[in-house]
Amino acid sequence: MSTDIFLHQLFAGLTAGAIYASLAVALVMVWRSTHHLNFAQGEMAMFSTYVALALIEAGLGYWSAFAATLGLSFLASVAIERLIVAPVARSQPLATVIVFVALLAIFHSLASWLFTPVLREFPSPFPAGTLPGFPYLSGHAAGVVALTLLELAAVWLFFRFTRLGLAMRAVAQNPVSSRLVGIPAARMLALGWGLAGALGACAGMMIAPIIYLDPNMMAGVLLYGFAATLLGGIANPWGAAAGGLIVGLLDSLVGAWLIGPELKLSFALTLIVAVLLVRPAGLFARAQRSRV
Amino acid sequence: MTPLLEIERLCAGYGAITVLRDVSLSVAAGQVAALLGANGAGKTTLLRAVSGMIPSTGAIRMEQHLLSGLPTEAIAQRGVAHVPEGRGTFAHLSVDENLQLGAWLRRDRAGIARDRERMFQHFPRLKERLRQQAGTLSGGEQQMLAIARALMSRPRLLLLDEPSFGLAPILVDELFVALARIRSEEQVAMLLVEQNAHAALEFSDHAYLLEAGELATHGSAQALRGDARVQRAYLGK
Repeated sequence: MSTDIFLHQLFAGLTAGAIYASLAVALVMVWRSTHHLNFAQGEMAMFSTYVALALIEAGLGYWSAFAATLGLSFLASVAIERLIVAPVARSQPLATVIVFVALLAIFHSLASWLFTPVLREFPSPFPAGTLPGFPYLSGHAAGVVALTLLELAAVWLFFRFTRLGLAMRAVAQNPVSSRLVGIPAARMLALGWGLAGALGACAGMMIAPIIYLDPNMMAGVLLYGFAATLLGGIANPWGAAAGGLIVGLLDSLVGAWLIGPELKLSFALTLIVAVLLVRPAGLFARAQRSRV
Repeated sequence: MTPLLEIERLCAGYGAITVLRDVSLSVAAGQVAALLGANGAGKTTLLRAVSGMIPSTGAIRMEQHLLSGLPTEAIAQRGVAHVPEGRGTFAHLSVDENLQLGAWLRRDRAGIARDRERMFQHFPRLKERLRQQAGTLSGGEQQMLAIARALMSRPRLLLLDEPSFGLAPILVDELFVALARIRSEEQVAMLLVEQNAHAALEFSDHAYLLEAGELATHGSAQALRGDARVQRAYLGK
């Protein structure tokens, strides 16, 4: 029986971890431009998921709705950065935090108002039931993990091999030097917001079939996303992604075996605080080496 | 002949503090002008104003186009490359990526590849360190990288802010040899801020002396070598 439970919890943890990883990478993208954690990232993702549901109910096929939602979330996030966050940050950097809290409240009430605040079922694009040969792995779980890996690989390839990706990395490190070589730094930061919006939307659409869609859907998920980001290292998207998987697995396995479901959230967070006491910059922080 | 860079009655500073008052100067195409002065005279501030990193009044023109008021990235596009104080390399990116970023405004792949090879001729050390993170280079190597990165944009004007700062004397000599070679091969004009007045005057055609934010004197580098005010600014006499 213990092997069964272990496999079940392992796959559940992987699935949740993949979703936290998406969200954690989104948080890193926003951190790079604002140097604050975006409290509204979860609510933005939840809102995107409602948009996806509306598109599906309007008759769009799942994948068309999925793609359209990613595009719309990207554009909306770019607009939010350009029109609200950047102007506020220019006049008063600390006010960014207030803007994030305001965005959280706005998206939350907007969702409750536009879409009735009851639990809604959200479709999964992946086969129902378990995978042949893997009785503890549902089609949806396998799909979520595969899609997330694909998405993270795409983001990695973008940053590693494209001109735009290189410029975005440069701006994250040194905005002044970036502008001196001709990179429009402000536009790159907005692009980072767009990517974060799309990654968040993806996380929302992947988790909704598991926990149902409602305006509070992302509250707990965002907390795990924060934990993942801090655990992996806020400056490093791949560390944050790994942090997501670790948090998901820990939460699931420890919750099942050691302490039961009531305490698992506190356990995971306590463990993360403990790690941060030893490695304040996160597990996978780049060693800051520099010579003068 | 109209100058490449022309600055008229420039005033600039930080917030309420005015550092530069009514400074006018010009740099001719392909020539090197040195900007001399004691610490705090406003040399770095002037370079920052040219690059649009701080607001200024007066007029700054590059090839007769007004630069004043343009954002930094648009000024880079007009052919101005700035090697800032402290070098400003991307410490976590590789030497190669730093060079690629230098050419960010360009689309001619073949030309970029050729220029990259030429940078290795100017600074062979960079070729050996191509995959290394820029932050792990020595001070001298980082300065070479900063200059090479600036040249990758094929600028018509190079702003150099204390390139010899913090370098051992032997490296300073090496650096100026490289700069002399760049100057003759790259057809790039330079506005050079230097604490090492001797090296700067040796290397320049023309020199400007700033005293407390105002232009004290200017003239050919040769003439300024004997100027008492230059000696005073650097030797504190």
